[in-house]
Parts: sequence; C-alpha cells; structure tokens
Amino acid sequence: MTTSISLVSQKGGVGKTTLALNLSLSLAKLSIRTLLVDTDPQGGIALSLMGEQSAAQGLKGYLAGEPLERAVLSTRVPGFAILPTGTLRGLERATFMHQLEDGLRLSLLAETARDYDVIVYDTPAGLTGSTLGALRASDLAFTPLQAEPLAANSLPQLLEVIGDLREEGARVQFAGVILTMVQRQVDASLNVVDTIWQKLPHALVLDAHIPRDPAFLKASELGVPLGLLSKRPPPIARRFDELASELAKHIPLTDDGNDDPIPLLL
Amino acid sequence: MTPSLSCFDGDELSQLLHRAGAGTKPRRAVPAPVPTPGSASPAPAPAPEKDPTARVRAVAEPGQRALGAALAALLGDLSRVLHTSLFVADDEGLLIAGAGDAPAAAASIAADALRSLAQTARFAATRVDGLLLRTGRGAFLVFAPAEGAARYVVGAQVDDDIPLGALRAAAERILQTLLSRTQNHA
Repeated sequence: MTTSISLVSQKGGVGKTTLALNLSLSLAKLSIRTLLVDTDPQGGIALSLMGEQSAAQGLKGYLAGEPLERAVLSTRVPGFAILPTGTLRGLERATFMHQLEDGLRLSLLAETARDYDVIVYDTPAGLTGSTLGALRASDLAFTPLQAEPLAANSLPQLLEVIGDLREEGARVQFAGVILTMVQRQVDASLNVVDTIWQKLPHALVLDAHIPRDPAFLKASELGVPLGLLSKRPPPIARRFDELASELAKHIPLTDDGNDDPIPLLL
Repeated sequence: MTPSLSCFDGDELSQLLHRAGAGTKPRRAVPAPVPTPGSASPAPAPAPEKDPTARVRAVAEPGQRALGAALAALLGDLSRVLHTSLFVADDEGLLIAGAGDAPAAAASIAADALRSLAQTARFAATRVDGLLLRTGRGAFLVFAPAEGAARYVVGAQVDDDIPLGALRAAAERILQTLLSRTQNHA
C-alpha cells in the first residue's frame, strides 16, 4: 500500500521544496521507499538539485503517456526516486496546473507507483491548481509553517479547503504542522511557535522543527540535499531524520511477512 | 475572508480540524484576562520579587528540599544532554532545583512564569506544553503539569539551538518524576 503525503502551504517561501527534498531523503534512509513528485510548475526540485530543469520528461512526460519508470530520476540513495516536473514553457505551466487539479491523474500515479511505500508531493504555494490535485490524491497533508506571523494566519484557510475536499469525497486528512525557519533569538518568531503550541493539539504539531540555518544556502548553492552535503553532514540535517521518524508513524509499511532481526555480519 | 488563527476560539478551531479530518480535539481555549469591576484593563500583576536569590535561600521546607535533592541528578543529566539550563519551581515561584549555567536566576524567572500563569490561566489544560517567556536574561520555555497534578513548573533556557521536542520530552520526564515523588510522599 502506497501512502500519499502532500506538503502544502497557502503562503510561499516557507521552505516547502527544501522540506520535501530533505524529508524524502530521510524517509528513504529509514528504508521507506520514497517517490518525491514535484507538482510545482516552477520545477523547484529539479532546479534545486541541478540548477536547471531536468532533461527527464518527469511528470509532464508521465501525463503525456510515458511509463513512470522512464519518467522518474533515480538517485544514488536506495529506495529514493524523484519525479520532477519536466520542462514546461510559457502557457504549458497553466495547462499543467489545470491538468492536475482534479487529482485523478495523481491518483492514477499512486496506483502505478506500487513499488514505493510513500509518495511525497511538493506543491506550489496557494490552494489552487496542482495543490488541490495533490490534496485530492493524498492520504495525509502536512503544512510547513514558517515561524513568522503571516504564515500562522493562513492555517485556517488550509483547514477550510481540506474540509471542503473531504466533503467532496476526498480521503485526505490534515496530519500536522511542521515549524520551519524558527529563529530563537527573534521574538516574533517565538510568538508564532507559542501560538501554534497553544492553539493546536499536541499530536498536530510535529516535535522536530527546522531552524533558519546558513547550511541551507550552502546546500542550495551546491545543488544537494543537506544530508548529502558532505560525508559528515551539518547537524541540522538530523532534523529531517527526526521529522522522518515522526512521519513514519503514519506510514503503513508493506508487510512481507518477515520481521526477523537482521544479522549485522555477512 | 477567513479570520487568522489567533481569532479562533477552541470550539471553532476544533470544528475546522474535525472537518479537515484531523480527528483530534484541540485543547481548551486560552481565556482572556478578566478585567476587574470598574476597570477597563486587566488587574495589574503583583510586584516582582526584589531579591530572587533571597527567595532561593528561603526554601526551607524539608519536603521540598528533599524533592530538590532527588531531582538534582535528573536535572543535571538532562541539562548536560540538552546543553541548556533547567529548573523546577513551586507554585509560589520558589526554586526547588536547578541545573545548568543560570540556576540562580531561575527563581525570579519562575516567579515571572507563575505570575503569567495566574493571569492568563494558560496552563489550565491537560497537556504538558510550553509557554515562552522572554525576560531580561533571554527566552525560557516553561512547562506545567496536567490539571490536578502537583503544582510545579519546569523551565528551560532556549537561547541555544535545541529541538523543542527534546525539551518537551525532558519536561515530561521531570514532571513525571515530580508527580511520582509527590504522590509517594502524600
């Protein structure tokens, strides 16, 4: 069974793509076979990894009939693959968003992607177009919430939209808030953390949070996830491992009937 | 236009979350400070302690001293692991135990925390949670036990970059220890 997870936010610039990429890597490191799907027509995932759009046809190619296994980008990390947006030009971006909005094609994708335990959808900012499609095709929705005042204000709008989709028949559940860009030395940032903790139930605020850190800039400059920045990744990379461990509780792994201890030595 | 998060009370937010399939009830709403009769503004806070260190020395009650001694090792271990200062205070703002760089300051911080709690009733809830307090010495997270439990608070300095989850877990552990010891001695 493949679990589909959307990372969505009404507000832009909250760290969705960074979160999607690094979290997917950390999930794969937990032996959770992960497909990261970029539904943002800006193609942020491929841009952040390669500095330019990937030559792979990606999701665009898949929508045009290309087999999934040819549309995805394999990685050096076992169990981790990426379906980039593919090269979109001009008005193709609007068409792409429209094609995905009803969620049907992404639901079909999930049916096809049975080799994966989890699909992570990176989405564009806002609650329209392909973001709606990703939500309609998902089991769970998490929202990265930048620890600054305006970001917190957008949460009720997201909850309203998810509620409306569920009334339409979608199965997606709001699963929690991931605090990003937390700045301990800034009162306004701490106030947002305080508000979220006070207002939301414990289970809906993930314990691990992502602080603002210069390591993100370095990783972005070099086009790699934080966890692969060097042989000894910066400490902040562990935050994504912690997040992945929390998310893993929501992901039912395929039961192959063998849960014996794994011998260390060959 | 949808109102901002801070405008929602507990019931409204609960309904939104329920519709969104979150399936978990949010905690109770945070009550606003109640104005005193004939006054438009909330009641003023009690005057701060003039000499917090004097209050630390004033902890003389044998039961609390025993409690502080029992907590010292746990606080010390957690403080070293988390690289931050931790303290436990009672409901009058007296320091029961502290560990880390700034335990001496903890009594006045605890007093500040308890004044805030008294004014906002923020901790009249049923979960261990954090209240961020910013004082002249930096930012502190203060945790309180669940309703009906012994009235102690746990505080932690959050100037350093440590995971909130780890702090919360540490606070839960300290509060559980407090609860078990106070029950044993009741």
